[in-house]
Amino acid sequence: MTSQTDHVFEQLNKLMGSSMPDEYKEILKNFHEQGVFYQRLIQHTDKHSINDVTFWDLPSTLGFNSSDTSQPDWFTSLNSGQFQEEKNASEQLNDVFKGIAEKTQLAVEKLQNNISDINKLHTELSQLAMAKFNTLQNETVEKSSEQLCTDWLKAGEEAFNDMSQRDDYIKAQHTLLETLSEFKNTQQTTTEQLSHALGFPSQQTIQDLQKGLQQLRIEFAEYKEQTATTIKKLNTRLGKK
Amino acid sequence: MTNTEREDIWQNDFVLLMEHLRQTDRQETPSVGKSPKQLIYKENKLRLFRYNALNVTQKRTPILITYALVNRPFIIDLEPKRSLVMRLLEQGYPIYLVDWGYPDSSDCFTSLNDYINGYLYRCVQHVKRDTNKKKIDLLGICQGGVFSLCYSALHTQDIRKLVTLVTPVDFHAEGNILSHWTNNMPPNILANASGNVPGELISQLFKTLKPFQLSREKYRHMEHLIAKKENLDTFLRMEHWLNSGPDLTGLAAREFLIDFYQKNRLYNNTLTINEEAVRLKNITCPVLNLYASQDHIVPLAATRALADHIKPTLYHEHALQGGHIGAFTSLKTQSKLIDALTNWLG
Repeated sequence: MTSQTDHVFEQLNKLMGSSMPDEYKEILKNFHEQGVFYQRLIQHTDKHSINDVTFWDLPSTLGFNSSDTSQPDWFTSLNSGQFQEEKNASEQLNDVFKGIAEKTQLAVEKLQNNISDINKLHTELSQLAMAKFNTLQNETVEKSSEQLCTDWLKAGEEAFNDMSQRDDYIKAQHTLLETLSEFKNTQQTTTEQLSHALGFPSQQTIQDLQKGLQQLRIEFAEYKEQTATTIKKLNTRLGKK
Repeated sequence: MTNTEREDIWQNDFVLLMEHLRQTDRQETPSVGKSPKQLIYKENKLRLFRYNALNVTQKRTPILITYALVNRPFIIDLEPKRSLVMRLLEQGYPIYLVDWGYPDSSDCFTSLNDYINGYLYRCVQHVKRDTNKKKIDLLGICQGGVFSLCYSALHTQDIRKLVTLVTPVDFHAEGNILSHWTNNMPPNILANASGNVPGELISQLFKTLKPFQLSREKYRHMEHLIAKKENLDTFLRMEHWLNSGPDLTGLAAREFLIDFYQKNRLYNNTLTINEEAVRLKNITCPVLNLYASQDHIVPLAATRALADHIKPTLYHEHALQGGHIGAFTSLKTQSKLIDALTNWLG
Protein backbone atom coordinates (compact mmCIF):
# COMPACT_ATOMS: atom_id res chain seq x y z
CA MET A 1 0.00 0.00 0.00
CA THR A 2 1.39 3.38 -1.05
CA SER A 3 1.29 6.53 1.05
CA GLN A 4 -1.09 7.98 -1.53
CA THR A 5 -3.47 5.06 -0.92
CA ASP A 6 -3.14 5.62 2.83
CA HIS A 7 -3.98 9.27 2.28
CA VAL A 8 -7.12 8.40 0.28
CA PHE A 9 -8.30 5.90 2.92
CA GLU A 10 -7.66 8.41 5.66
CA GLN A 11 -9.66 11.12 3.89
CA LEU A 12 -12.50 8.77 3.08
CA ASN A 13 -12.74 7.49 6.66
CA LYS A 14 -12.75 11.04 7.93
CA LEU A 15 -15.62 11.93 5.62
CA MET A 16 -17.56 8.81 6.60
CA GLY A 17 -17.49 10.05 10.19
CA SER A 18 -18.37 13.62 9.25
CA SER A 19 -21.75 15.35 8.99
CA MET A 20 -21.73 14.98 5.20
CA PRO A 21 -25.18 13.92 3.88
CA ASP A 22 -25.60 10.12 3.94
CA GLU A 23 -26.41 10.11 0.23
CA TYR A 24 -22.94 11.50 -0.51
CA LYS A 25 -21.28 8.99 1.81
CA GLU A 26 -23.04 6.19 -0.05
CA ILE A 27 -21.92 7.58 -3.42
CA LEU A 28 -18.30 7.91 -2.25
CA LYS A 29 -18.42 4.39 -0.84
CA ASN A 30 -19.69 3.07 -4.18
CA PHE A 31 -17.01 4.88 -6.18
CA HIS A 32 -14.34 3.71 -3.80
CA GLU A 33 -15.48 0.07 -3.78
CA GLN A 34 -15.75 -0.06 -7.54
CA GLY A 35 -12.41 1.73 -7.98
CA VAL A 36 -10.73 -0.89 -5.83
CA PHE A 37 -12.55 -3.62 -7.75
CA TYR A 38 -11.41 -2.37 -11.17
CA GLN A 39 -7.84 -1.93 -9.98
CA ARG A 40 -7.86 -5.53 -8.78
CA LEU A 41 -9.38 -6.66 -12.09
CA ILE A 42 -6.73 -4.90 -14.15
CA GLN A 43 -3.90 -6.18 -11.95
CA HIS A 44 -5.18 -9.76 -12.07
CA THR A 45 -5.49 -9.90 -15.81
CA ASP A 46 -2.41 -11.80 -16.82
CA LYS A 47 -1.62 -11.76 -20.54
CA HIS A 48 -5.21 -10.74 -21.18
CA SER A 49 -6.87 -13.70 -19.53
CA ILE A 50 -8.33 -14.28 -16.09
CA ASN A 51 -8.67 -17.43 -14.06
CA ASP A 52 -10.58 -15.98 -11.13
CA VAL A 53 -14.36 -16.36 -11.39
CA THR A 54 -15.04 -14.11 -8.41
CA PHE A 55 -14.86 -11.05 -10.66
CA TRP A 56 -18.36 -11.93 -11.86
CA ASP A 57 -19.78 -13.06 -8.53
CA LEU A 58 -23.39 -11.86 -8.67
CA PRO A 59 -24.15 -11.44 -4.95
CA SER A 60 -21.03 -9.36 -4.36
CA THR A 61 -21.67 -7.39 -7.57
CA LEU A 62 -25.08 -6.49 -6.17
CA GLY A 63 -23.48 -5.57 -2.83
CA PHE A 64 -24.80 -8.53 -0.82
CA ASN A 65 -21.39 -9.77 0.25
CA SER A 66 -19.80 -6.44 1.05
CA SER A 67 -17.58 -6.54 4.10
CA ASP A 68 -19.57 -3.92 5.95
CA THR A 69 -23.09 -4.91 4.92
CA SER A 70 -24.07 -8.46 5.74
CA GLN A 71 -27.53 -8.11 4.18
CA PRO A 72 -29.14 -5.32 2.20
CA ASP A 73 -31.84 -3.43 4.08
CA TRP A 74 -34.60 -4.61 1.77
CA PHE A 75 -33.80 -8.26 2.49
CA THR A 76 -34.09 -7.78 6.21
CA SER A 77 -37.23 -5.69 5.82
CA LEU A 78 -38.70 -8.39 3.56
CA ASN A 79 -38.76 -10.76 6.48
CA SER A 80 -39.81 -8.09 8.94
CA GLY A 81 -36.17 -7.82 9.97
CA GLN A 82 -36.71 -10.71 12.33
CA PHE A 83 -35.02 -13.66 10.63
CA GLN A 84 -32.51 -14.35 13.38
CA GLU A 85 -34.54 -12.81 16.15
CA GLU A 86 -37.58 -14.82 15.21
CA LYS A 87 -35.54 -17.98 15.42
CA ASN A 88 -34.45 -17.00 18.92
CA ALA A 89 -38.02 -16.14 19.82
CA SER A 90 -39.14 -19.53 18.54
CA GLU A 91 -36.51 -21.22 20.67
CA GLN A 92 -37.61 -19.31 23.73
CA LEU A 93 -41.20 -20.27 23.16
CA ASN A 94 -40.36 -23.82 22.28
CA ASP A 95 -42.53 -25.28 25.02
CA VAL A 96 -45.55 -23.30 24.01
CA PHE A 97 -45.15 -23.48 20.26
CA LYS A 98 -43.08 -26.58 19.79
CA GLY A 99 -44.80 -27.53 16.55
CA ILE A 100 -44.30 -24.08 15.11
CA ALA A 101 -40.65 -24.01 16.14
CA GLU A 102 -40.10 -27.33 14.36
CA LYS A 103 -41.79 -25.96 11.27
CA THR A 104 -39.56 -22.91 11.44
CA GLN A 105 -36.49 -25.11 11.76
CA LEU A 106 -37.56 -27.10 8.70
CA ALA A 107 -38.19 -23.91 6.76
CA VAL A 108 -34.72 -22.61 7.70
CA GLU A 109 -33.10 -25.86 6.53
CA LYS A 110 -35.07 -25.72 3.28
CA LEU A 111 -34.04 -22.11 2.85
CA GLN A 112 -30.38 -23.00 3.31
CA ASN A 113 -30.69 -25.73 0.65
CA ASN A 114 -32.35 -23.31 -1.75
CA ILE A 115 -29.63 -20.73 -1.19
CA SER A 116 -27.03 -23.43 -1.83
CA ASP A 117 -28.75 -24.26 -5.17
CA ILE A 118 -28.78 -20.60 -6.16
CA ASN A 119 -25.12 -20.26 -5.20
CA LYS A 120 -24.23 -23.14 -7.54
CA LEU A 121 -25.98 -21.35 -10.38
CA HIS A 122 -24.19 -18.12 -9.51
CA THR A 123 -20.87 -19.97 -9.67
CA GLU A 124 -21.88 -21.30 -13.09
CA LEU A 125 -22.75 -17.74 -14.14
CA SER A 126 -19.29 -16.54 -13.05
CA GLN A 127 -17.61 -19.35 -14.98
CA LEU A 128 -19.65 -18.58 -18.07
CA ALA A 129 -18.76 -14.88 -17.80
CA MET A 130 -15.06 -15.68 -17.33
CA ALA A 131 -15.03 -17.91 -20.43
CA LYS A 132 -16.78 -15.17 -22.44
CA PHE A 133 -14.29 -12.60 -21.15
CA ASN A 134 -11.26 -14.67 -22.11
CA THR A 135 -12.71 -15.26 -25.58
CA LEU A 136 -13.38 -11.53 -26.01
CA GLN A 137 -9.87 -10.65 -24.85
CA ASN A 138 -8.33 -13.14 -27.27
CA GLU A 139 -10.35 -11.67 -30.13
CA THR A 140 -9.55 -8.05 -29.21
CA VAL A 141 -6.73 -6.31 -31.01
CA GLU A 142 -6.69 -3.33 -28.66
CA LYS A 143 -5.22 -4.45 -25.34
CA SER A 144 -5.89 -1.37 -23.22
CA SER A 145 -7.32 -1.33 -19.69
CA GLU A 146 -10.39 0.44 -21.05
CA GLN A 147 -11.00 -2.41 -23.45
CA LEU A 148 -10.42 -4.90 -20.65
CA CYS A 149 -13.13 -3.25 -18.54
CA THR A 150 -15.48 -3.10 -21.54
CA ASP A 151 -14.95 -6.81 -22.14
CA TRP A 152 -15.47 -7.57 -18.44
CA LEU A 153 -18.81 -5.77 -18.55
CA LYS A 154 -19.91 -7.33 -21.83
CA ALA A 155 -19.01 -10.82 -20.62
CA GLY A 156 -20.87 -10.31 -17.35
CA GLU A 157 -24.04 -8.88 -18.85
CA GLU A 158 -24.17 -11.48 -21.63
CA ALA A 159 -23.65 -14.35 -19.18
CA PHE A 160 -26.31 -12.92 -16.87
CA ASN A 161 -28.72 -12.46 -19.76
CA ASP A 162 -28.25 -16.10 -20.79
CA MET A 163 -28.51 -17.42 -17.24
CA SER A 164 -31.42 -15.27 -16.07
CA GLN A 165 -33.70 -16.66 -18.76
CA ARG A 166 -32.77 -20.29 -18.16
CA ASP A 167 -35.52 -22.49 -16.74
CA ASP A 168 -33.36 -23.93 -13.97
CA TYR A 169 -32.32 -20.44 -12.81
CA ILE A 170 -35.89 -19.17 -12.78
CA LYS A 171 -37.05 -22.37 -11.05
CA ALA A 172 -34.36 -22.04 -8.36
CA GLN A 173 -35.41 -18.45 -7.71
CA HIS A 174 -39.07 -19.42 -7.49
CA THR A 175 -38.29 -22.29 -5.10
CA LEU A 176 -36.36 -19.86 -2.91
CA LEU A 177 -39.27 -17.42 -2.93
CA GLU A 178 -41.77 -20.17 -2.16
CA THR A 179 -39.68 -21.26 0.81
CA LEU A 180 -39.45 -17.66 1.97
CA SER A 181 -43.21 -17.45 1.59
CA GLU A 182 -43.71 -20.60 3.70
CA PHE A 183 -41.28 -19.22 6.24
CA LYS A 184 -43.19 -15.97 6.36
CA ASN A 185 -46.49 -17.81 6.83
CA THR A 186 -44.99 -19.74 9.75
CA GLN A 187 -43.79 -16.45 11.22
CA GLN A 188 -47.26 -14.99 10.86
CA THR A 189 -48.84 -18.01 12.55
CA THR A 190 -46.37 -17.71 15.41
CA THR A 191 -46.98 -13.99 15.78
CA GLU A 192 -50.73 -14.55 15.65
CA GLN A 193 -50.69 -17.20 18.36
CA LEU A 194 -48.31 -15.17 20.50
CA SER A 195 -50.56 -12.10 20.14
CA HIS A 196 -53.54 -14.20 21.16
CA ALA A 197 -51.71 -15.62 24.20
CA LEU A 198 -50.62 -12.16 25.34
CA GLY A 199 -53.98 -10.53 24.64
CA PHE A 200 -52.70 -8.27 21.85
CA PRO A 201 -54.92 -7.42 18.87
CA SER A 202 -54.81 -10.08 16.19
CA GLN A 203 -53.49 -9.47 12.68
CA GLN A 204 -57.07 -9.77 11.48
CA THR A 205 -58.16 -6.98 13.84
CA ILE A 206 -55.36 -4.75 12.57
CA GLN A 207 -56.26 -5.52 8.96
CA ASP A 208 -59.92 -4.78 9.65
CA LEU A 209 -58.90 -1.42 11.06
CA GLN A 210 -56.70 -0.69 8.03
CA LYS A 211 -59.55 -1.62 5.68
CA GLY A 212 -62.00 0.51 7.68
CA LEU A 213 -59.67 3.50 7.55
CA GLN A 214 -59.18 3.02 3.83
CA GLN A 215 -62.94 2.86 3.30
CA LEU A 216 -63.49 6.01 5.37
CA ARG A 217 -60.87 7.89 3.38
CA ILE A 218 -62.50 6.86 0.11
CA GLU A 219 -66.00 7.80 1.26
CA PHE A 220 -64.78 11.20 2.46
CA ALA A 221 -62.92 11.83 -0.82
CA GLU A 222 -65.98 10.82 -2.86
CA TYR A 223 -68.20 13.08 -0.76
CA LYS A 224 -65.80 15.99 -1.31
CA GLU A 225 -65.72 15.26 -5.03
CA GLN A 226 -69.52 15.20 -5.27
CA THR A 227 -69.73 18.46 -3.35
CA ALA A 228 -67.16 20.12 -5.62
CA THR A 229 -69.07 18.93 -8.70
CA THR A 230 -72.34 20.29 -7.32
CA ILE A 231 -70.77 23.66 -6.47
CA LYS A 232 -69.29 23.88 -9.95
CA LYS A 233 -72.68 23.14 -11.52
CA LEU A 234 -74.39 25.74 -9.33
CA ASN A 235 -71.77 28.33 -10.15
CA THR A 236 -72.20 27.65 -13.85
CA ARG A 237 -75.97 28.04 -13.57
CA LEU A 238 -75.62 31.24 -11.54
CA GLY A 239 -73.11 32.54 -14.06
CA LYS A 240 -75.58 31.93 -16.91
CA LYS A 241 -78.33 33.79 -15.06
CA MET B 1 0.23 3.44 -19.10
CA THR B 2 1.45 1.36 -16.15
CA ASN B 3 -0.86 0.06 -13.45
CA THR B 4 0.75 2.41 -10.91
CA GLU B 5 0.15 5.44 -13.16
CA ARG B 6 -3.45 4.37 -13.67
CA GLU B 7 -3.93 3.90 -9.94
CA ASP B 8 -2.49 7.37 -9.29
CA ILE B 9 -4.95 8.93 -11.75
CA TRP B 10 -7.90 7.14 -10.12
CA GLN B 11 -6.76 8.19 -6.65
CA ASN B 12 -6.33 11.81 -7.72
CA ASP B 13 -9.81 11.79 -9.27
CA PHE B 14 -11.28 10.23 -6.16
CA VAL B 15 -9.63 12.82 -3.91
CA LEU B 16 -11.08 15.55 -6.12
CA LEU B 17 -14.52 13.96 -5.94
CA MET B 18 -14.29 13.86 -2.14
CA GLU B 19 -13.28 17.52 -2.11
CA HIS B 20 -16.20 18.49 -4.37
CA LEU B 21 -18.67 16.70 -2.13
CA ARG B 22 -17.14 18.13 1.04
CA GLN B 23 -17.55 21.74 -0.06
CA THR B 24 -19.86 23.73 2.13
CA ASP B 25 -22.30 24.57 -0.65
CA ARG B 26 -22.91 20.88 -1.03
CA GLN B 27 -24.28 20.17 2.39
CA GLU B 28 -27.62 19.41 0.77
CA THR B 29 -28.40 17.33 -2.29
CA PRO B 30 -29.01 19.56 -5.34
CA SER B 31 -32.66 20.51 -5.54
CA VAL B 32 -35.07 18.56 -7.74
CA GLY B 33 -38.57 19.21 -9.09
CA LYS B 34 -38.18 22.96 -8.69
CA SER B 35 -40.31 24.30 -11.54
CA PRO B 36 -42.82 26.60 -9.78
CA LYS B 37 -46.15 24.89 -9.11
CA GLN B 38 -49.27 25.15 -6.97
CA LEU B 39 -50.90 22.43 -4.93
CA ILE B 40 -54.52 22.30 -6.09
CA TYR B 41 -55.75 19.08 -4.49
CA LYS B 42 -54.65 16.62 -1.85
CA GLU B 43 -56.13 13.38 -0.69
CA ASN B 44 -54.36 11.13 1.80
CA LYS B 45 -50.76 10.98 0.46
CA LEU B 46 -51.69 12.03 -3.06
CA ARG B 47 -50.96 15.56 -4.28
CA LEU B 48 -52.14 17.18 -7.51
CA PHE B 49 -50.04 20.10 -8.75
CA ARG B 50 -50.59 22.75 -11.39
CA TYR B 51 -47.37 24.20 -12.82
CA ASN B 52 -47.17 27.96 -13.21
CA ALA B 53 -47.70 29.01 -16.82
CA LEU B 54 -44.91 30.82 -18.62
CA ASN B 55 -45.42 34.06 -20.45
CA VAL B 56 -46.22 32.43 -23.79
CA THR B 57 -49.43 31.88 -25.75
CA GLN B 58 -51.39 29.23 -23.90
CA LYS B 59 -52.77 26.05 -25.48
CA ARG B 60 -56.38 25.23 -24.79
CA THR B 61 -56.25 21.68 -23.45
CA PRO B 62 -54.39 20.90 -20.23
CA ILE B 63 -52.11 17.88 -19.89
CA LEU B 64 -52.30 15.73 -16.78
CA ILE B 65 -49.10 13.73 -16.23
CA THR B 66 -49.19 10.46 -14.29
CA TYR B 67 -46.01 8.68 -13.36
CA ALA B 68 -45.42 5.17 -11.98
CA LEU B 69 -46.08 4.27 -8.35
CA VAL B 70 -42.60 2.79 -8.01
CA ASN B 71 -40.55 5.99 -8.35
CA ARG B 72 -40.96 9.66 -7.56
CA PRO B 73 -42.42 11.82 -10.34
CA PHE B 74 -39.80 14.58 -9.99
CA ILE B 75 -37.80 12.74 -12.66
CA ILE B 76 -39.90 14.68 -15.20
CA ASP B 77 -38.59 17.91 -13.65
CA LEU B 78 -35.18 16.71 -12.54
CA GLU B 79 -33.39 20.01 -13.22
CA PRO B 80 -34.12 23.01 -15.45
CA LYS B 81 -32.17 21.60 -18.39
CA ARG B 82 -33.66 18.12 -18.07
CA SER B 83 -37.26 18.98 -17.44
CA LEU B 84 -40.03 17.54 -19.57
CA VAL B 85 -42.39 19.78 -17.60
CA MET B 86 -40.45 22.95 -18.42
CA ARG B 87 -40.20 22.10 -22.13
CA LEU B 88 -43.98 21.59 -22.27
CA LEU B 89 -44.61 24.82 -20.36
CA GLU B 90 -42.39 26.62 -22.88
CA GLN B 91 -44.74 25.39 -25.59
CA GLY B 92 -47.71 26.86 -23.72
CA TYR B 93 -49.32 23.67 -22.42
CA PRO B 94 -51.09 23.93 -19.06
CA ILE B 95 -49.40 21.14 -17.06
CA TYR B 96 -50.76 19.19 -14.10
CA LEU B 97 -48.97 16.43 -12.23
CA VAL B 98 -50.19 13.60 -10.02
CA ASP B 99 -47.80 12.79 -7.17
CA TRP B 100 -48.89 9.50 -5.58
CA GLY B 101 -46.77 10.20 -2.48
CA TYR B 102 -45.24 7.76 0.00
CA PRO B 103 -47.76 5.16 1.18
CA ASP B 104 -47.51 3.70 4.68
CA SER B 105 -48.98 0.67 6.42
CA SER B 106 -52.42 2.31 6.63
CA ASP B 107 -52.51 2.27 2.81
CA CYS B 108 -51.73 -1.42 2.35
CA PHE B 109 -55.28 -2.17 1.16
CA THR B 110 -55.25 0.48 -1.55
CA SER B 111 -56.21 -1.34 -4.73
CA LEU B 112 -55.72 -0.65 -8.43
CA ASN B 113 -59.38 0.34 -8.48
CA ASP B 114 -58.65 2.96 -5.80
CA TYR B 115 -55.75 4.31 -7.87
CA ILE B 116 -57.53 4.36 -11.23
CA ASN B 117 -61.21 4.93 -10.45
CA GLY B 118 -60.52 6.78 -7.22
CA TYR B 119 -57.39 8.93 -7.05
CA LEU B 120 -56.86 9.36 -10.79
CA TYR B 121 -60.57 9.90 -11.46
CA ARG B 122 -60.76 12.68 -8.88
CA CYS B 123 -57.55 14.29 -10.20
CA VAL B 124 -58.99 14.33 -13.72
CA GLN B 125 -62.20 15.92 -12.44
CA HIS B 126 -60.18 18.57 -10.58
CA VAL B 127 -58.19 19.43 -13.70
CA LYS B 128 -61.39 19.62 -15.75
CA ARG B 129 -62.96 21.99 -13.23
CA ASP B 130 -59.77 24.02 -12.84
CA THR B 131 -59.57 24.62 -16.59
CA ASN B 132 -63.28 24.64 -17.44
CA LYS B 133 -62.75 21.81 -19.90
CA LYS B 134 -64.92 18.77 -20.55
CA LYS B 135 -61.96 16.73 -21.75
CA ILE B 136 -58.25 16.85 -20.99
CA ASP B 137 -55.09 15.24 -22.37
CA LEU B 138 -53.47 12.48 -20.34
CA LEU B 139 -49.74 11.70 -20.45
CA GLY B 140 -48.85 8.46 -18.66
CA ILE B 141 -45.29 7.35 -18.11
CA CYS B 142 -44.30 3.69 -17.54
CA GLN B 143 -46.78 2.24 -15.01
CA GLY B 144 -48.53 5.62 -15.10
CA GLY B 145 -49.08 4.87 -18.79
CA VAL B 146 -50.72 1.56 -17.88
CA PHE B 147 -53.03 3.39 -15.47
CA SER B 148 -53.76 6.00 -18.15
CA LEU B 149 -54.69 3.30 -20.66
CA CYS B 150 -57.06 1.70 -18.16
CA TYR B 151 -58.52 5.10 -17.31
CA SER B 152 -59.03 6.03 -20.95
CA ALA B 153 -60.77 2.71 -21.61
CA LEU B 154 -63.07 3.16 -18.61
CA HIS B 155 -63.73 6.92 -18.76
CA THR B 156 -63.77 7.72 -22.45
CA GLN B 157 -65.74 10.92 -21.87
CA ASP B 158 -62.87 12.56 -19.96
CA ILE B 159 -59.94 12.21 -22.34
CA ARG B 160 -59.31 14.18 -25.54
CA LYS B 161 -55.92 12.67 -26.37
CA LEU B 162 -53.78 10.06 -24.66
CA VAL B 163 -49.98 9.87 -24.68
CA THR B 164 -48.21 6.80 -23.34
CA LEU B 165 -44.47 7.02 -22.74
CA VAL B 166 -42.29 3.89 -22.19
CA THR B 167 -45.44 1.99 -21.25
CA PRO B 168 -45.72 -1.81 -21.19
CA VAL B 169 -48.86 -3.39 -22.67
CA ASP B 170 -47.95 -6.99 -23.53
CA PHE B 171 -46.23 -8.17 -20.35
CA HIS B 172 -45.41 -11.54 -21.92
CA ALA B 173 -43.65 -10.09 -24.95
CA GLU B 174 -40.26 -11.54 -25.81
CA GLY B 175 -37.36 -10.17 -23.81
CA ASN B 176 -39.37 -9.19 -20.76
CA ILE B 177 -37.05 -10.55 -18.06
CA LEU B 178 -39.18 -9.14 -15.24
CA SER B 179 -42.11 -11.15 -16.51
CA HIS B 180 -39.99 -14.36 -16.58
CA TRP B 181 -38.92 -13.79 -13.00
CA THR B 182 -42.32 -12.91 -11.63
CA ASN B 183 -44.25 -15.67 -13.37
CA ASN B 184 -45.55 -18.05 -10.65
CA MET B 185 -44.05 -15.87 -7.93
CA PRO B 186 -46.13 -16.12 -4.72
CA PRO B 187 -47.97 -12.76 -4.72
CA ASN B 188 -47.54 -12.11 -1.01
CA ILE B 189 -43.82 -12.77 -0.80
CA LEU B 190 -42.74 -9.25 -1.65
CA ALA B 191 -44.66 -7.47 1.09
CA ASN B 192 -42.99 -6.66 4.41
CA ALA B 193 -44.48 -6.28 7.90
CA SER B 194 -46.24 -3.05 6.88
CA GLY B 195 -48.18 -4.99 4.26
CA ASN B 196 -46.47 -3.00 1.50
CA VAL B 197 -43.66 -3.86 -0.92
CA PRO B 198 -40.47 -2.00 0.09
CA GLY B 199 -39.19 0.57 -2.40
CA GLU B 200 -35.65 -0.73 -1.87
CA LEU B 201 -36.74 -4.15 -3.08
CA ILE B 202 -38.18 -2.71 -6.29
CA SER B 203 -35.05 -0.65 -6.80
CA GLN B 204 -32.90 -3.76 -6.29
CA LEU B 205 -35.06 -5.69 -8.74
CA PHE B 206 -34.53 -3.09 -11.45
CA LYS B 207 -30.79 -2.99 -10.71
CA THR B 208 -30.63 -6.75 -11.10
CA LEU B 209 -31.83 -6.48 -14.70
CA LYS B 210 -28.35 -5.19 -15.63
CA PRO B 211 -26.32 -6.08 -12.54
CA PHE B 212 -22.78 -5.46 -13.76
CA GLN B 213 -23.67 -2.24 -15.55
CA LEU B 214 -25.77 -0.69 -12.79
CA SER B 215 -23.80 -1.86 -9.76
CA ARG B 216 -20.20 -1.45 -10.90
CA GLU B 217 -19.73 0.14 -14.32
CA LYS B 218 -21.66 3.28 -13.52
CA TYR B 219 -19.22 4.03 -10.68
CA ARG B 220 -16.09 3.47 -12.78
CA HIS B 221 -15.66 6.87 -14.38
CA MET B 222 -15.32 10.04 -12.37
CA GLU B 223 -13.60 12.33 -14.88
CA HIS B 224 -16.81 13.92 -16.19
CA LEU B 225 -18.13 14.44 -12.65
CA ILE B 226 -15.10 16.26 -11.34
CA ALA B 227 -14.63 18.22 -14.57
CA LYS B 228 -17.90 20.14 -14.34
CA LYS B 229 -20.09 21.05 -11.35
CA GLU B 230 -23.17 20.73 -13.54
CA ASN B 231 -22.34 17.09 -14.36
CA LEU B 232 -21.90 16.21 -10.70
CA ASP B 233 -25.18 17.94 -9.83
CA THR B 234 -27.05 15.92 -12.44
CA PHE B 235 -25.44 12.72 -11.20
CA LEU B 236 -26.38 13.50 -7.59
CA ARG B 237 -29.95 14.31 -8.56
CA MET B 238 -30.27 11.07 -10.48
CA GLU B 239 -28.82 9.06 -7.59
CA HIS B 240 -31.25 10.81 -5.25
CA TRP B 241 -34.14 9.85 -7.53
CA LEU B 242 -32.97 6.25 -7.81
CA ASN B 243 -32.76 5.92 -4.04
CA SER B 244 -36.00 7.61 -3.08
CA GLY B 245 -38.54 5.15 -4.46
CA PRO B 246 -41.72 4.84 -2.37
CA ASP B 247 -43.08 1.54 -1.09
CA LEU B 248 -45.82 -0.03 -3.16
CA THR B 249 -49.16 -0.55 -1.46
CA GLY B 250 -49.51 -4.28 -0.83
CA LEU B 251 -52.87 -4.88 -2.49
CA ALA B 252 -52.18 -2.84 -5.64
CA ALA B 253 -48.76 -4.52 -5.98
CA ARG B 254 -50.35 -7.98 -5.71
CA GLU B 255 -53.03 -7.07 -8.23
CA PHE B 256 -50.47 -5.62 -10.63
CA LEU B 257 -48.23 -8.67 -10.28
CA ILE B 258 -51.06 -11.13 -10.92
CA ASP B 259 -53.20 -9.28 -13.47
CA PHE B 260 -50.44 -7.70 -15.53
CA TYR B 261 -47.16 -9.59 -15.08
CA GLN B 262 -48.51 -13.10 -14.53
CA LYS B 263 -51.85 -13.21 -16.38
CA ASN B 264 -51.17 -10.46 -18.94
CA ARG B 265 -54.83 -9.52 -18.64
CA LEU B 266 -54.66 -6.03 -20.20
CA TYR B 267 -53.25 -7.44 -23.43
CA ASN B 268 -55.39 -10.59 -23.32
CA ASN B 269 -58.64 -8.64 -22.89
CA THR B 270 -59.46 -10.32 -19.58
CA LEU B 271 -58.79 -7.46 -17.17
CA THR B 272 -61.54 -6.28 -14.86
CA ILE B 273 -61.29 -3.44 -12.38
CA ASN B 274 -64.09 -3.07 -9.87
CA GLU B 275 -66.00 -5.74 -11.82
CA GLU B 276 -65.85 -3.67 -14.97
CA ALA B 277 -64.11 -4.99 -18.07
CA VAL B 278 -61.10 -2.94 -19.17
CA ARG B 279 -60.77 -3.25 -22.95
CA LEU B 280 -58.20 -1.24 -24.85
CA LYS B 281 -60.38 -1.37 -27.96
CA ASN B 282 -62.88 0.81 -26.04
CA ILE B 283 -60.45 3.72 -26.12
CA THR B 284 -62.05 6.27 -28.41
CA CYS B 285 -59.46 9.06 -28.30
CA PRO B 286 -56.32 9.33 -30.42
CA VAL B 287 -53.31 7.62 -28.79
CA LEU B 288 -49.62 8.48 -29.21
CA ASN B 289 -47.32 5.72 -28.01
CA LEU B 290 -43.75 6.95 -27.39
CA TYR B 291 -41.20 4.24 -26.74
CA ALA B 292 -37.46 4.03 -26.13
CA SER B 293 -35.32 2.10 -28.57
CA GLN B 294 -32.92 0.84 -25.86
CA ASP B 295 -35.39 0.23 -23.05
CA HIS B 296 -34.18 -2.66 -20.85
CA ILE B 297 -37.30 -2.53 -18.64
CA VAL B 298 -40.02 -2.27 -21.26
CA PRO B 299 -38.95 -4.14 -24.42
CA LEU B 300 -40.09 -2.74 -27.77
CA ALA B 301 -42.48 -5.61 -28.40
CA ALA B 302 -44.11 -5.07 -24.99
CA THR B 303 -45.01 -1.46 -25.70
CA ARG B 304 -45.66 -1.60 -29.46
CA ALA B 305 -48.24 -4.31 -28.76
CA LEU B 306 -50.62 -1.45 -28.04
CA ALA B 307 -51.14 -1.22 -31.80
CA ASP B 308 -52.88 -4.62 -31.67
CA HIS B 309 -55.77 -3.12 -29.71
CA ILE B 310 -56.23 0.49 -30.74
CA LYS B 311 -58.03 1.35 -33.97
CA PRO B 312 -55.38 2.08 -36.63
CA THR B 313 -56.94 5.47 -37.37
CA LEU B 314 -56.44 6.48 -33.72
CA TYR B 315 -53.01 4.96 -33.10
CA HIS B 316 -49.66 6.63 -33.63
CA GLU B 317 -46.26 5.63 -32.35
CA HIS B 318 -42.86 7.25 -32.24
CA ALA B 319 -39.46 5.82 -31.31
CA LEU B 320 -37.07 7.78 -29.09
CA GLN B 321 -33.36 7.10 -28.91
CA GLY B 322 -32.27 6.05 -25.45
CA GLY B 323 -33.23 3.92 -22.50
CA HIS B 324 -36.23 3.79 -20.19
CA ILE B 325 -35.35 7.02 -18.38
CA GLY B 326 -33.03 8.63 -20.96
CA ALA B 327 -35.98 8.77 -23.37
CA PHE B 328 -37.28 11.82 -21.50
CA THR B 329 -34.28 13.02 -19.46
CA SER B 330 -31.52 12.92 -22.06
CA LEU B 331 -30.58 16.27 -23.57
CA LYS B 332 -30.11 14.58 -26.94
CA THR B 333 -33.62 13.10 -27.01
CA GLN B 334 -35.49 15.95 -25.36
CA SER B 335 -36.04 18.12 -28.45
CA LYS B 336 -37.21 15.12 -30.48
CA LEU B 337 -39.63 14.13 -27.73
CA ILE B 338 -41.06 17.65 -27.54
CA ASP B 339 -41.33 17.88 -31.34
CA ALA B 340 -43.23 14.58 -31.42
CA LEU B 341 -45.55 15.71 -28.65
CA THR B 342 -46.27 19.20 -29.97
CA ASN B 343 -46.80 17.99 -33.55
CA TRP B 344 -49.29 15.41 -32.38
CA LEU B 345 -51.06 17.24 -29.57
CA GLY B 346 -51.40 20.42 -31.56
